[in-house]
Amino acid sequence: MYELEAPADLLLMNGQSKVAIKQRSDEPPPEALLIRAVLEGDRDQYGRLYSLYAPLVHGILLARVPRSEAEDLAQDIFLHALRKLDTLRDLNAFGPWIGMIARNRAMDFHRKSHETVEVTEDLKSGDATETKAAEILEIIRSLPDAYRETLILRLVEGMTGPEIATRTGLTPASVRVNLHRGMKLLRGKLGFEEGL
Amino acid sequence: MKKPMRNVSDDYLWDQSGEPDPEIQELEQLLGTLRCQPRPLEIPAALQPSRPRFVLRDFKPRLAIAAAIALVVLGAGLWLGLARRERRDTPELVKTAAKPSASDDSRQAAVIVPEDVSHENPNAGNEVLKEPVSVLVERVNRTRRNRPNPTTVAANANRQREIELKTPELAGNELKEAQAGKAHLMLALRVASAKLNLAIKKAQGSTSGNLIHNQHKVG
Repeated sequence: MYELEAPADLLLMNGQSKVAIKQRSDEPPPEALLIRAVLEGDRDQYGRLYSLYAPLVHGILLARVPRSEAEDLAQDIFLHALRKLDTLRDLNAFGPWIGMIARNRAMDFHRKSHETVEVTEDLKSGDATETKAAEILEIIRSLPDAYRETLILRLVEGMTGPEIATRTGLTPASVRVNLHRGMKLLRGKLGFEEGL
Repeated sequence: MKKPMRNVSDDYLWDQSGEPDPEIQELEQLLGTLRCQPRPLEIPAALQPSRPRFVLRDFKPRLAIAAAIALVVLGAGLWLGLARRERRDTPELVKTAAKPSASDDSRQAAVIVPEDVSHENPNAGNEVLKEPVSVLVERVNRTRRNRPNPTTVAANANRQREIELKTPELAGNELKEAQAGKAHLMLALRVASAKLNLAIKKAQGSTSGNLIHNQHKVG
Protein backbone atom coordinates (compact mmCIF):
# COMPACT_ATOMS: atom_id res chain seq x y z
CA MET A 1 0.00 0.00 0.00
CA TYR A 2 1.27 3.44 -0.83
CA GLU A 3 1.86 6.17 1.66
CA LEU A 4 1.90 9.38 -0.26
CA GLU A 5 3.92 12.19 1.19
CA ALA A 6 3.25 15.61 -0.19
CA PRO A 7 4.84 18.76 1.17
CA ALA A 8 2.50 21.56 2.13
CA ASP A 9 3.53 23.76 -0.79
CA LEU A 10 2.27 21.11 -3.19
CA LEU A 11 -1.21 21.70 -1.90
CA LEU A 12 -1.01 25.33 -2.81
CA MET A 13 -1.19 26.47 -6.35
CA ASN A 14 2.00 27.20 -8.16
CA GLY A 15 2.53 30.55 -9.88
CA GLN A 16 1.74 29.31 -13.39
CA SER A 17 -1.65 27.98 -12.39
CA LYS A 18 -2.52 31.21 -10.65
CA VAL A 19 -1.62 33.23 -13.72
CA ALA A 20 -3.57 30.89 -15.97
CA ILE A 21 -6.67 31.15 -13.80
CA LYS A 22 -6.35 34.91 -13.54
CA GLN A 23 -6.07 35.22 -17.31
CA ARG A 24 -9.07 33.00 -17.71
CA SER A 25 -11.12 35.01 -15.25
CA ASP A 26 -10.33 38.22 -17.15
CA GLU A 27 -11.83 36.85 -20.33
CA PRO A 28 -15.57 37.27 -20.74
CA PRO A 29 -17.13 33.92 -19.87
CA PRO A 30 -18.85 32.42 -22.91
CA GLU A 31 -21.49 30.86 -20.67
CA ALA A 32 -22.96 34.23 -19.78
CA LEU A 33 -23.32 35.15 -23.45
CA LEU A 34 -24.93 31.81 -24.21
CA ILE A 35 -27.37 32.14 -21.33
CA ARG A 36 -28.30 35.65 -22.38
CA ALA A 37 -28.96 34.41 -25.91
CA VAL A 38 -31.11 31.57 -24.58
CA LEU A 39 -33.09 33.99 -22.42
CA GLU A 40 -33.69 36.12 -25.47
CA GLY A 41 -35.24 33.13 -27.22
CA ASP A 42 -32.35 31.42 -29.01
CA ARG A 43 -32.93 27.83 -27.95
CA ASP A 44 -30.08 26.46 -30.07
CA GLN A 45 -27.56 28.10 -27.78
CA TYR A 46 -28.81 25.92 -24.97
CA GLY A 47 -27.45 22.91 -26.88
CA ARG A 48 -23.98 24.44 -26.67
CA LEU A 49 -24.43 25.11 -23.00
CA TYR A 50 -25.48 21.50 -22.57
CA SER A 51 -22.40 20.15 -24.28
CA LEU A 52 -20.20 22.38 -22.10
CA TYR A 53 -21.75 21.35 -18.81
CA ALA A 54 -22.96 17.81 -19.46
CA PRO A 55 -19.68 16.28 -18.13
CA LEU A 56 -20.04 18.24 -14.88
CA VAL A 57 -23.63 17.15 -14.33
CA HIS A 58 -22.85 13.60 -15.37
CA GLY A 59 -19.88 13.44 -12.98
CA ILE A 60 -21.92 14.79 -10.07
CA LEU A 61 -24.65 12.26 -10.78
CA LEU A 62 -22.18 9.42 -11.22
CA ALA A 63 -20.88 10.09 -7.72
CA ARG A 64 -24.37 9.57 -6.35
CA VAL A 65 -26.66 7.52 -8.56
CA PRO A 66 -26.27 4.32 -10.62
CA ARG A 67 -24.53 4.78 -13.94
CA SER A 68 -27.53 3.59 -15.93
CA GLU A 69 -29.62 6.41 -14.50
CA ALA A 70 -27.07 9.17 -14.84
CA GLU A 71 -27.68 10.06 -18.50
CA ASP A 72 -31.45 10.23 -18.29
CA LEU A 73 -31.24 12.23 -15.11
CA ALA A 74 -28.76 14.60 -16.73
CA GLN A 75 -31.20 15.26 -19.57
CA ASP A 76 -34.01 15.90 -17.10
CA ILE A 77 -31.83 18.27 -15.15
CA PHE A 78 -30.93 20.31 -18.22
CA LEU A 79 -34.59 20.56 -19.25
CA HIS A 80 -35.52 21.62 -15.74
CA ALA A 81 -32.72 24.18 -15.77
CA LEU A 82 -33.99 25.58 -19.07
CA ARG A 83 -37.40 26.07 -17.53
CA LYS A 84 -35.93 27.84 -14.52
CA LEU A 85 -33.19 29.73 -16.32
CA ASP A 86 -34.83 33.08 -15.57
CA THR A 87 -34.25 32.51 -11.87
CA LEU A 88 -30.47 32.37 -12.34
CA ARG A 89 -29.28 35.61 -10.79
CA ASP A 90 -25.59 35.54 -11.73
CA LEU A 91 -25.13 34.51 -15.34
CA ASN A 92 -21.51 33.61 -14.63
CA ALA A 93 -22.56 31.08 -12.01
CA PHE A 94 -24.37 28.64 -14.27
CA GLY A 95 -22.01 25.77 -13.31
CA PRO A 96 -22.51 25.97 -9.53
CA TRP A 97 -26.23 26.50 -10.09
CA ILE A 98 -26.79 23.46 -12.29
CA GLY A 99 -24.42 21.45 -10.08
CA MET A 100 -26.67 22.16 -7.12
CA ILE A 101 -29.74 21.15 -9.13
CA ALA A 102 -27.97 17.88 -10.00
CA ARG A 103 -27.15 17.15 -6.35
CA ASN A 104 -30.71 17.85 -5.28
CA ARG A 105 -32.06 15.68 -8.06
CA ALA A 106 -29.76 12.82 -7.00
CA MET A 107 -31.12 13.08 -3.47
CA ASP A 108 -34.67 12.99 -4.81
CA PHE A 109 -33.76 9.91 -6.81
CA HIS A 110 -32.65 8.06 -3.68
CA ARG A 111 -35.80 9.02 -1.85
CA LYS A 112 -37.94 7.48 -4.56
CA SER A 113 -36.02 4.42 -5.71
CA HIS A 114 -34.23 1.25 -4.50
CA GLU A 115 -30.48 1.33 -4.87
CA THR A 116 -29.66 -2.37 -4.94
CA VAL A 117 -31.31 -3.10 -8.29
CA GLU A 118 -29.16 -0.66 -10.23
CA VAL A 119 -25.88 -1.72 -8.62
CA THR A 120 -26.22 -5.34 -9.75
CA GLU A 121 -27.24 -4.15 -13.18
CA ASP A 122 -24.09 -2.09 -13.42
CA LEU A 123 -21.83 -4.95 -12.40
CA LYS A 124 -23.19 -7.65 -14.61
CA SER A 125 -23.23 -5.67 -17.87
CA GLY A 126 -20.25 -5.15 -20.15
CA ASP A 127 -16.81 -6.71 -20.47
CA ALA A 128 -14.07 -7.20 -17.86
CA THR A 129 -12.64 -3.68 -18.23
CA GLU A 130 -16.01 -2.13 -17.73
CA THR A 131 -16.67 -4.37 -14.77
CA LYS A 132 -13.36 -3.37 -13.25
CA ALA A 133 -14.18 0.29 -13.89
CA ALA A 134 -17.54 -0.12 -12.23
CA GLU A 135 -15.85 -1.68 -9.20
CA ILE A 136 -13.42 1.21 -8.88
CA LEU A 137 -16.30 3.64 -9.28
CA GLU A 138 -18.02 1.94 -6.37
CA ILE A 139 -14.87 2.34 -4.28
CA ILE A 140 -14.72 6.03 -5.18
CA ARG A 141 -18.37 6.40 -4.21
CA SER A 142 -17.55 5.07 -0.78
CA LEU A 143 -15.23 8.04 -0.20
CA PRO A 144 -16.47 11.20 1.54
CA ASP A 145 -18.66 13.49 -0.57
CA ALA A 146 -16.10 16.21 -1.24
CA TYR A 147 -13.48 13.75 -2.47
CA ARG A 148 -15.62 11.44 -4.59
CA GLU A 149 -17.17 14.19 -6.66
CA THR A 150 -13.82 15.85 -7.38
CA LEU A 151 -12.12 12.53 -8.14
CA ILE A 152 -14.85 11.43 -10.54
CA LEU A 153 -14.71 14.74 -12.37
CA ARG A 154 -10.94 14.35 -12.66
CA LEU A 155 -10.56 10.63 -13.39
CA VAL A 156 -13.81 9.78 -15.16
CA GLU A 157 -14.74 12.99 -16.93
CA GLY A 158 -11.12 13.95 -17.61
CA MET A 159 -11.44 17.50 -16.33
CA THR A 160 -8.36 19.24 -14.94
CA GLY A 161 -8.25 20.78 -11.46
CA PRO A 162 -8.67 24.38 -12.68
CA GLU A 163 -11.61 23.32 -14.85
CA ILE A 164 -13.26 21.63 -11.91
CA ALA A 165 -12.77 24.77 -9.84
CA THR A 166 -14.27 27.00 -12.51
CA ARG A 167 -17.24 24.80 -13.21
CA THR A 168 -18.16 23.93 -9.65
CA GLY A 169 -17.46 27.33 -8.14
CA LEU A 170 -15.02 25.88 -5.60
CA THR A 171 -11.70 27.60 -5.00
CA PRO A 172 -8.74 26.04 -6.82
CA ALA A 173 -7.04 25.44 -3.49
CA SER A 174 -10.03 23.45 -2.22
CA VAL A 175 -10.14 21.38 -5.38
CA ARG A 176 -6.44 20.67 -5.11
CA VAL A 177 -6.76 19.57 -1.51
CA ASN A 178 -9.77 17.41 -2.32
CA LEU A 179 -7.93 15.77 -5.20
CA HIS A 180 -4.85 15.11 -3.15
CA ARG A 181 -6.62 13.69 -0.11
CA GLY A 182 -9.16 11.78 -2.18
CA MET A 183 -6.41 10.20 -4.22
CA LYS A 184 -4.57 9.23 -1.08
CA LEU A 185 -7.67 7.50 0.28
CA LEU A 186 -8.33 5.83 -3.07
CA ARG A 187 -4.81 4.48 -3.28
CA GLY A 188 -5.22 3.09 0.21
CA LYS A 189 -8.51 1.40 -0.65
CA LEU A 190 -7.34 0.01 -3.98
CA GLY A 191 -4.05 -1.40 -2.69
CA PHE A 192 -2.00 -0.74 -5.75
CA GLU A 193 0.41 -3.58 -5.01
CA GLU A 194 -2.20 -5.98 -6.49
CA GLY A 195 -2.17 -4.09 -9.75
CA LEU A 196 -5.19 -2.90 -11.60
CA MET B 1 2.70 -5.50 1.69
CA LYS B 2 3.37 -1.82 1.84
CA LYS B 3 5.26 0.07 -0.84
CA PRO B 4 7.88 2.50 0.39
CA MET B 5 6.77 6.10 0.85
CA ARG B 6 7.69 8.36 -2.01
CA ASN B 7 7.43 11.99 -2.93
CA VAL B 8 5.06 12.34 -5.82
CA SER B 9 4.29 15.67 -7.42
CA ASP B 10 0.57 16.44 -7.56
CA ASP B 11 0.94 18.43 -10.76
CA TYR B 12 -0.22 15.63 -12.98
CA LEU B 13 -3.24 15.01 -10.79
CA TRP B 14 -3.94 18.74 -10.70
CA ASP B 15 -3.69 19.80 -14.33
CA GLN B 16 -2.04 16.88 -16.18
CA SER B 17 1.20 18.78 -16.32
CA GLY B 18 4.59 17.58 -15.12
CA GLU B 19 5.66 14.00 -14.93
CA PRO B 20 2.76 11.61 -15.53
CA ASP B 21 1.87 9.37 -12.64
CA PRO B 22 1.43 5.84 -14.05
CA GLU B 23 -1.19 4.88 -11.48
CA ILE B 24 -3.30 7.90 -12.21
CA GLN B 25 -2.91 7.30 -15.93
CA GLU B 26 -4.09 3.73 -15.47
CA LEU B 27 -7.10 4.92 -13.46
CA GLU B 28 -7.88 7.50 -16.14
CA GLN B 29 -7.85 4.84 -18.85
CA LEU B 30 -10.05 2.49 -16.89
CA LEU B 31 -12.55 5.03 -15.63
CA GLY B 32 -12.55 6.89 -18.95
CA THR B 33 -14.81 4.14 -20.29
CA LEU B 34 -17.54 5.50 -18.02
CA ARG B 35 -17.13 9.05 -19.32
CA CYS B 36 -20.13 11.07 -20.29
CA GLN B 37 -21.02 10.74 -23.96
CA PRO B 38 -23.82 13.20 -24.14
CA ARG B 39 -26.54 12.49 -26.62
CA PRO B 40 -28.15 15.56 -28.14
CA LEU B 41 -30.52 17.30 -25.82
CA GLU B 42 -34.10 16.95 -26.98
CA ILE B 43 -35.91 20.10 -26.03
CA PRO B 44 -39.69 19.78 -26.30
CA ALA B 45 -41.18 22.34 -28.64
CA ALA B 46 -43.54 23.56 -25.95
CA LEU B 47 -40.71 24.27 -23.55
CA GLN B 48 -39.60 27.87 -23.64
CA PRO B 49 -37.28 29.52 -21.19
CA SER B 50 -39.31 32.01 -19.24
CA ARG B 51 -38.24 35.60 -19.51
CA PRO B 52 -36.46 37.16 -16.57
CA ARG B 53 -39.11 38.81 -14.49
CA PHE B 54 -39.06 41.33 -11.73
CA VAL B 55 -38.03 39.52 -8.60
CA LEU B 56 -38.38 41.49 -5.43
CA ARG B 57 -35.46 39.80 -3.72
CA ASP B 58 -33.08 41.13 -6.42
CA PHE B 59 -33.93 44.65 -5.40
CA LYS B 60 -34.14 44.01 -1.68
CA PRO B 61 -30.88 45.74 -0.72
CA ARG B 62 -31.65 48.77 -2.86
CA LEU B 63 -35.20 48.95 -1.55
CA ALA B 64 -33.93 48.74 2.01
CA ILE B 65 -31.49 51.59 1.44
CA ALA B 66 -34.16 53.72 -0.25
CA ALA B 67 -36.60 53.04 2.59
CA ALA B 68 -34.00 53.95 5.19
CA ILE B 69 -33.20 57.22 3.41
CA ALA B 70 -36.90 58.02 3.08
CA LEU B 71 -37.43 57.35 6.78
CA VAL B 72 -34.52 59.56 7.75
CA VAL B 73 -35.76 62.39 5.53
CA LEU B 74 -39.30 62.02 6.86
CA GLY B 75 -38.09 61.95 10.45
CA ALA B 76 -35.91 65.01 9.95
CA GLY B 77 -38.80 66.87 8.30
CA LEU B 78 -41.17 66.02 11.13
CA TRP B 79 -38.63 67.01 13.73
CA LEU B 80 -37.90 70.31 12.06
CA GLY B 81 -41.60 71.04 11.64
CA LEU B 82 -42.34 70.27 15.26
CA ALA B 83 -39.40 72.30 16.46
CA ARG B 84 -40.49 75.28 14.39
CA ARG B 85 -44.05 75.04 15.66
CA GLU B 86 -42.86 74.75 19.23
CA ARG B 87 -40.66 77.78 18.82
CA ARG B 88 -43.60 79.72 17.44
CA ASP B 89 -46.02 78.64 20.18
CA THR B 90 -43.92 78.91 23.32
CA PRO B 91 -43.14 82.34 24.79
CA GLU B 92 -39.60 83.41 25.28
CA LEU B 93 -38.76 82.33 28.80
CA VAL B 94 -35.96 83.71 30.84
CA LYS B 95 -34.78 82.00 33.96
CA THR B 96 -34.63 84.42 36.82
CA ALA B 97 -34.65 84.30 40.56
CA ALA B 98 -38.07 84.15 42.15
CA LYS B 99 -39.35 87.66 42.64
CA PRO B 100 -42.64 89.42 42.29
CA SER B 101 -43.16 90.93 38.94
CA ALA B 102 -45.63 92.81 36.88
CA SER B 103 -46.60 89.66 35.07
CA ASP B 104 -49.48 89.07 37.50
CA ASP B 105 -51.06 92.30 36.45
CA SER B 106 -50.52 91.63 32.82
CA ARG B 107 -52.04 88.17 33.26
CA GLN B 108 -55.10 89.72 34.83
CA ALA B 109 -55.41 92.01 31.89
CA ALA B 110 -55.51 89.01 29.64
CA VAL B 111 -58.79 87.70 31.03
CA ILE B 112 -61.04 86.74 28.21
CA VAL B 113 -64.28 88.60 28.17
CA PRO B 114 -67.26 86.53 27.08
CA GLU B 115 -68.85 87.77 23.92
CA ASP B 116 -72.25 87.88 25.62
CA VAL B 117 -71.11 90.58 27.96
CA SER B 118 -69.93 92.87 25.22
CA HIS B 119 -73.00 92.33 23.11
CA GLU B 120 -75.53 92.69 25.88
CA ASN B 121 -76.39 96.33 26.17
CA PRO B 122 -72.87 97.66 26.48
CA ASN B 123 -73.56 101.08 27.95
CA ALA B 124 -76.68 100.38 29.96
CA GLY B 125 -76.65 101.77 33.51
CA ASN B 126 -73.01 102.65 33.53
CA GLU B 127 -71.83 106.22 33.24
CA VAL B 128 -68.22 105.34 33.93
CA LEU B 129 -67.98 103.44 30.66
CA LYS B 130 -67.77 106.08 28.04
CA GLU B 131 -66.75 103.69 25.35
CA PRO B 132 -68.44 100.45 24.36
CA VAL B 133 -67.03 97.30 25.96
CA SER B 134 -66.08 95.80 22.59
CA VAL B 135 -63.77 98.73 21.97
CA LEU B 136 -62.15 98.19 25.33
CA VAL B 137 -61.75 94.50 24.65
CA GLU B 138 -60.17 95.29 21.32
CA ARG B 139 -57.77 97.66 23.03
CA VAL B 140 -56.80 95.12 25.63
CA ASN B 141 -56.34 92.51 22.94
CA ARG B 142 -54.05 94.87 21.09
CA THR B 143 -51.82 95.00 24.12
CA ARG B 144 -52.09 91.23 24.53
CA ARG B 145 -50.74 90.41 21.10
CA ASN B 146 -47.19 91.04 22.16
CA ARG B 147 -47.52 89.10 25.37
CA PRO B 148 -46.95 85.44 26.05
CA ASN B 149 -49.71 82.90 25.74
CA PRO B 150 -51.33 82.52 29.18
CA THR B 151 -52.29 78.91 28.53
CA THR B 152 -48.66 77.96 28.19
CA VAL B 153 -47.86 79.67 31.44
CA ALA B 154 -50.62 77.78 33.20
CA ALA B 155 -49.29 74.45 31.89
CA ASN B 156 -45.93 75.29 33.32
CA ALA B 157 -47.26 76.21 36.74
CA ASN B 158 -44.64 74.32 38.73
CA ARG B 159 -41.92 76.58 37.48
CA GLN B 160 -43.68 79.87 38.04
CA ARG B 161 -41.34 80.93 40.79
CA GLU B 162 -38.30 80.34 38.73
CA ILE B 163 -39.31 81.83 35.49
CA GLU B 164 -40.60 85.14 34.51
CA LEU B 165 -42.47 85.93 31.40
CA LYS B 166 -40.54 88.40 29.44
CA THR B 167 -43.06 91.08 28.69
CA PRO B 168 -42.53 93.25 25.73
CA GLU B 169 -41.71 96.82 26.53
CA LEU B 170 -44.51 99.22 25.86
CA ALA B 171 -44.28 102.85 25.10
CA GLY B 172 -45.46 105.23 27.84
CA ASN B 173 -48.73 106.27 26.23
CA GLU B 174 -49.45 102.67 25.22
CA LEU B 175 -48.99 101.58 28.81
CA LYS B 176 -51.34 104.26 30.07
CA GLU B 177 -53.88 103.37 27.46
CA ALA B 178 -53.64 99.73 28.40
CA GLN B 179 -54.07 100.45 32.08
CA ALA B 180 -57.08 102.65 31.42
CA GLY B 181 -58.49 99.94 29.21
CA LYS B 182 -57.88 97.42 31.93
CA ALA B 183 -59.66 99.55 34.51
CA HIS B 184 -62.61 100.00 32.19
CA LEU B 185 -62.73 96.37 31.42
CA MET B 186 -62.62 95.38 35.06
CA LEU B 187 -65.41 97.76 35.81
CA ALA B 188 -67.46 96.47 32.94
CA LEU B 189 -66.90 92.93 34.13
CA ARG B 190 -67.94 93.82 37.64
CA VAL B 191 -71.10 95.45 36.34
CA ALA B 192 -71.85 92.52 34.15
CA SER B 193 -71.24 90.16 37.03
CA ALA B 194 -73.52 92.13 39.32
CA LYS B 195 -76.23 92.11 36.69
CA LEU B 196 -75.87 88.41 36.26
CA ASN B 197 -76.12 87.83 40.01
CA LEU B 198 -79.19 89.96 40.18
CA ALA B 199 -80.78 88.07 37.36
CA ILE B 200 -80.02 84.77 39.08
CA LYS B 201 -81.44 86.01 42.34
CA LYS B 202 -84.59 87.20 40.59
CA ALA B 203 -84.96 83.89 38.88
CA GLN B 204 -84.54 82.00 42.13
CA GLY B 205 -86.75 84.41 44.03
CA SER B 206 -89.67 83.72 41.73
CA THR B 207 -89.72 80.05 42.74
CA SER B 208 -89.13 80.42 46.49
CA GLY B 209 -89.34 83.34 48.84
CA ASN B 210 -86.87 82.03 51.32
CA LEU B 211 -83.33 81.88 50.03
CA ILE B 212 -82.11 79.88 53.00
CA HIS B 213 -82.66 76.21 52.39
CA ASN B 214 -81.68 73.15 54.37
CA GLN B 215 -80.31 75.13 57.20
CA HIS B 216 -81.13 74.53 60.84
CA LYS B 217 -81.64 77.29 63.21
CA VAL B 218 -78.57 78.03 65.20
CA GLY B 219 -78.87 78.86 68.93
